[in-house]
Amino acid sequence: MSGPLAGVKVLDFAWALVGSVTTKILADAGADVVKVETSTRPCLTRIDVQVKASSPKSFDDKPWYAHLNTSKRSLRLDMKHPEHRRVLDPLIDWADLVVENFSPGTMDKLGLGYAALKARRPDIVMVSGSVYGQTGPMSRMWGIDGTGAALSGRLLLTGWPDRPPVTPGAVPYGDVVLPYLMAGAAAAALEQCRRTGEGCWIDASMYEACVQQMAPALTAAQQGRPLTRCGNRDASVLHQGVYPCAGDDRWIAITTFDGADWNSLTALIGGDWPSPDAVAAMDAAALDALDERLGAWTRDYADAELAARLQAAGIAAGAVNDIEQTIGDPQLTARGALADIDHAVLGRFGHQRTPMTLSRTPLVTRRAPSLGEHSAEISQTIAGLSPDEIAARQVDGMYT
Amino acid sequence: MSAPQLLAGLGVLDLSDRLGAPVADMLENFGATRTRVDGAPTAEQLAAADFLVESFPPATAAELGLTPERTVAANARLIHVSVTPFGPEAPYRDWRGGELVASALSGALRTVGYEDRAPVKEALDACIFHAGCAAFSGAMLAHYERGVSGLGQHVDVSVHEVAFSRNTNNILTWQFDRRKLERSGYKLRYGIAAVRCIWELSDGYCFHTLMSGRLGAPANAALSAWMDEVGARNPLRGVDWMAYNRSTLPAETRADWEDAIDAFFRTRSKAEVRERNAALGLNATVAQDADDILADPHLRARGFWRELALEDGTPVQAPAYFVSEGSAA
Repeated sequence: MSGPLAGVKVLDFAWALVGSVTTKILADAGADVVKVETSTRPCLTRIDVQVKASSPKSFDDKPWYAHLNTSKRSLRLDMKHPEHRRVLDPLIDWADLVVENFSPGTMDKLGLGYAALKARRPDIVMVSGSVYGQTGPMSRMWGIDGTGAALSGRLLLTGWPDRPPVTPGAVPYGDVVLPYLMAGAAAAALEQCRRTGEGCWIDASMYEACVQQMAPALTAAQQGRPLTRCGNRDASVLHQGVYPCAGDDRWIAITTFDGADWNSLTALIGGDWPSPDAVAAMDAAALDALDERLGAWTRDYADAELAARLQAAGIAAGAVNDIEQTIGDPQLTARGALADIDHAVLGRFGHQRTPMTLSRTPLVTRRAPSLGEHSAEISQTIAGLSPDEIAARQVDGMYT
Repeated sequence: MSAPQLLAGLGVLDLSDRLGAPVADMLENFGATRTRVDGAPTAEQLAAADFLVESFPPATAAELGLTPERTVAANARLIHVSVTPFGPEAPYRDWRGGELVASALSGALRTVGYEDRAPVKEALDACIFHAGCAAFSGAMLAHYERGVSGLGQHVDVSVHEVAFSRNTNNILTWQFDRRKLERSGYKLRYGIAAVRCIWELSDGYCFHTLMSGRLGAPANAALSAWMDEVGARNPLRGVDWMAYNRSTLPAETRADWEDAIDAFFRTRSKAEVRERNAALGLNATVAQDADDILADPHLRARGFWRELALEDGTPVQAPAYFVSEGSAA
């Protein structure tokens, strides 16, 4: 395998998004990721039926799983089977890194907590992802993506001043942001271990990562200027908004960072407009009126054409793309955001790559595994079980 | 708890603006020494650096002699991290954008807001922060690889593409069923169902959904028990939660349940929801404001805060780490 983590071995106990995306990053980066899975508590993305091509009867026909588990191997293993440690212990000896996203305390109950792993392997690196973190009075509470949004203040500050807050991203946030911190910390810890032989344990909390994103709101509150919901406005730019365009539910986003941008925009529109200083001094009602006037101009134009015209004039603008437009977006295509890969059950379709380009050791996206696709191979080559024993365990249910 | 000091002894040249600030913050938090530079660094600075972070438009990088080809030629061990709105490829390489415009073009913006109004951005710099996390990840992958090979490289992250990566559910429903998941106010869309998730309290808001199956059953039953305890109208009473499926519940049943839950939550306070959630595991979470977060005993117990002085000398509490180092004890 190629990629920046070529040669790195990862034992992956993830069953939810946070862990699965973390190990997707590592696997796309060339690490050999063995995902330990079970049919009694399968990865969430193996069971949720979202499209017609998927059925509740199969674990292998979910495109959600396919996108988020690229480049991994799958070991199907019943963690309650009396002999399961015959396979798991050699994997612990094999691995450089263990990744998990159970509720804190669960790995300890399985005999796989950091203390137990460290006793066996002093140089092991472990990365744990959870909502609240591994310690503290709330650590045993569980939650989902929206929990992190509510805890961190993201939820309360997303939306319009005159209405209740809205779901901050119908697409997940904490669930997909935290994995980059986890994967990054893992790689840094692996590098330290390579130099010093010392392992470590990384405790990653979705709540805390989301609070980091909201840190400016905390500072503002402590300065006596608490932030409130403000629609599409942003105090750090001169002016911006989202405006209607021709067609049904079509919109354009326009940001004028400073007075020069504002002058370019108003020159392009034509007519008399307030000066940048006047815009900077406007209260909310005056800004609403200004936005109304801008919207009266944008509504006659097609979203993408107007955005291109504004960009040609040096103004930051973009169509508020829906998913069809986004998948067809020429820039995302140029970056290879979706990699066409053959899937064992679903056929060929564009899989999301890990969104980064490394110039010398690029990441590579390979297809996700079927449940237990590599159980026998891993049992034989890593755990050293004989073909006869593997056959016997297949009969007695260890690989379920 | 504290940040793992895994980059102690390494140096970061920070040439970035708002787009590159999060990744520079992260490298510093992991122990690296950050040197801020306006414009182009000196040859000595470039030769001594372990990481360089910038967010120049490609044309500006070329003018300053700071293209990745040049910097990595000047220092073969350098990891050059670029966080830009769209990346160096055509056709958008010279397009301008920030949080709002990158979010718009990525498809993420369209999924937030009420159906009867324009799409609305997430709070603060959500997409830029996400891109910063991705850039940190890329920098650390390159850092590991440098340890093996002795060579640095360029790490290129686009806010636009990182924001697009959040759309997984939307991508696959379009790829397979030609359906689009559109914004739905304070609801969450799961396949064909739109499930309410934000509720008004007597003094704020909370996040709560009835989750399906084994994950949701105890929490759903706990909410029902609390509604009974205060004598609220309760159509949730007696529901077999292991059989409940959020995707297939009839719409009229969901509407009736949501009416009752709405009426109930309006009579509860943030303090009550917090206390009952901790005691019963409701999976209901108060939508916290800054004061709630700063006062949270959980974050205090974890040592999440450090004191910082603002430019005017005012002391403020700020987050101490992005991730922390656990202890085997």
